[in-house]
Amino acid sequence: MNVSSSSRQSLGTLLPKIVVAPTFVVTLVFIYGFMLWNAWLSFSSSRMLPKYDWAGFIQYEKLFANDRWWVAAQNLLVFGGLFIVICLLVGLFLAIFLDQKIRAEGAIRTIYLYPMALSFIVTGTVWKWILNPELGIQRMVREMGFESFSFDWLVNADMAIYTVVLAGVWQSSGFVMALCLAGLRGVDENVVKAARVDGASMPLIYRRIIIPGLGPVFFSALIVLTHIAIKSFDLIVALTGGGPGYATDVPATFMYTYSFTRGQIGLGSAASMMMLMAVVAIIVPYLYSELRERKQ
Amino acid sequence: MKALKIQNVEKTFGSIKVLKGIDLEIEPGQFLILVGPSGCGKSTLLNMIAGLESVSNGNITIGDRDVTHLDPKDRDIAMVFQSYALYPNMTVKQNISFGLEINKTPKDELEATVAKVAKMLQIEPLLNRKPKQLSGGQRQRVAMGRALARDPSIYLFDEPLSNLDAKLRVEMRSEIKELHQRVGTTIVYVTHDQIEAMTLGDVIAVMKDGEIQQFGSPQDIYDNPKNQFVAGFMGSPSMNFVPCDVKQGMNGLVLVLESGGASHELPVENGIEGLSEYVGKKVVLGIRPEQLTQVSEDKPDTMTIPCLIEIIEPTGPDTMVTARLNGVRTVCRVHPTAQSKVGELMPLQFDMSKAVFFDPDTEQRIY
Ligand SMILES: Nc1ncnc2c1ncn2[C@@H]1O[C@H](COP(=O)(O)OP(=O)(O)OP(=O)(O)O)[C@@H](O)[C@H]1O
Ligand SMILES: [Mg+2]
Repeated sequence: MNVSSSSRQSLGTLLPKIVVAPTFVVTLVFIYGFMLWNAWLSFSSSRMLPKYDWAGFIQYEKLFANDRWWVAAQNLLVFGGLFIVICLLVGLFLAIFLDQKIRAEGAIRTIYLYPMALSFIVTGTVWKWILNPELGIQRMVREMGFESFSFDWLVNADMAIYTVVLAGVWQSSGFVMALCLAGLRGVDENVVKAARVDGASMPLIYRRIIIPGLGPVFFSALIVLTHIAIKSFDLIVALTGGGPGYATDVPATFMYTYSFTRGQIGLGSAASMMMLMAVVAIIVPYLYSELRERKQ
Repeated sequence: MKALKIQNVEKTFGSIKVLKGIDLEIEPGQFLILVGPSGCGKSTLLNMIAGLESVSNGNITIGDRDVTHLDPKDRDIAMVFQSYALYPNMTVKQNISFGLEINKTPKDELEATVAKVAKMLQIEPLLNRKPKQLSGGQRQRVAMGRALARDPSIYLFDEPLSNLDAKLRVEMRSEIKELHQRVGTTIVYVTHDQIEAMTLGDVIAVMKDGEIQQFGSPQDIYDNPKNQFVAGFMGSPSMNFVPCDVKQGMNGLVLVLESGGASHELPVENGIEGLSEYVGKKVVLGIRPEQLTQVSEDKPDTMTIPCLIEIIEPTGPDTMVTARLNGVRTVCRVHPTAQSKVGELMPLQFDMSKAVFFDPDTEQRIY
């Protein structure tokens, strides 16, 4: 009796561990293991195939001497900055607009949220067609009679990165809108009434009372948008392919190009390590503040 | 000049008429209570005075200005909400000074006002806290402080005490009364608590289903209710309503009361002429618990009837005993030493000098 009940008990405590174990092992190997592998490769002299020697910081030196890397890094700053700021502004603006008790709100909300359901590949492809001077907007306007109209951002090396911003904002601002709308709906309507009695106009009420109360909403949106921006790869591949030339390269496409098409695995690994550092620099303070709050 | 004049004000939401022609006027400095059961339209009326709800029909005048179509900010009012509605991201101090800041009050005047209000409400130590860090009673004070800082021509209160616990509610009630006596500004105060209505009000408007049932001083409403609803709503425990037959007795009209298995004839005080039309018919006798007491020698104009006691509820100073008269449970207020036991007959003294009578069909008072 005693033996069987204690063995059943130990099975009961073991079972969850057994069930979780495969996931744990897979995570350990395929995420953290490969991260370490990648770190090692970035310190090796690997080119076409992985080589497990120690080459010191040679790959990083090559990376920092590479013009194309700096274009990619700068593009990430431009794209990430504009993408995040515009998404937040557009999302907030749409949410405020939808919060005015307008008719057909449900339908409009769905329309704005719908792009979220598409993959970046689809978004990128669709916008490629729309922005293509031979197929899309430029041709349409010219056919309407404005022969001199020109809209060639997609193939203009200076402007192409902004088309990526445009497509990214189109896809993601609906998500920010949904977050903000939920936040706005949580505002006590009596607080708004009190502010009106105090003499505040609606714009002032939004500016001083409602929007400051959305702080946590903006913070969540910021974290999500930032990691979308840093990891963005598929959108650029589908929309511009990193071109024209390498004008719209970002670190993710840079890493892919060098590792898998140019036979420079070591350099690619060094680039991915730089991306990992960027993500860590954002996520760690976030987790730290979250965990500290939880503890209190 | 009246402080507030409401003329034939109506409100419809869609096809539902929520306020059906409200008329009332108050003098400057008066404390007006709007009281009534839930859903009778008190908050709607208050929001219309504030300008937060549009007026479907009629006129609202504050002082000598017609404000019917003005924005809240142009009406010179301040309001305290039931949920307090403090600005969550501002400190107590910013909450109090927000309205002043919008009105472009000079900085030193603003500081002085905040300090004065904080002192008056004893919230000085809280000035740098956020609303989240305050208790219910403290939030309530801040909400009042925000209104006081504005120094408007009318204060509007929407059930400001209903979220507080019983003890705090009584304390805040007397503080509000004291505040009104000190500041002297006109107040319109919504409540569904008839004790708050009686204790605070200079004038009371009793509302039901979007209509004012009676408008008058607290004592007048208590002593001379116009109909059975007002009589039953004001007073706690509420007035007893006993249906009785009216008969012509030897020395005037009598009511037939069946109590403790026997029939009694209760003489009616003279002076209620309308009652003679009801001979041979039923009326509703309205009598408050304090008019049904133990027998005391020093009251000659009364009548004593033995009643069967069904429930005994001591409250401390008095004991409420429930007897059955004409098949209706009737609450009587007796002295604790005089109470008898459940199931026994107890002689109770009926003081008919303040009894009122209602028509059983229309529920209107018979004069
Ligand atoms: N925006 C609205 N749309 C439709 N009906 C409404 C609206 N606001 C209030 N009502 C209705 O108007 C009536 C009066 O509401 P009001 O809030 O004034 O009641 P109240 O007397 O303040 O009640 P309480 O004591 O519960 O606060 C209610 O029947 C309510 O359902
Ligand atoms: Mg209400």
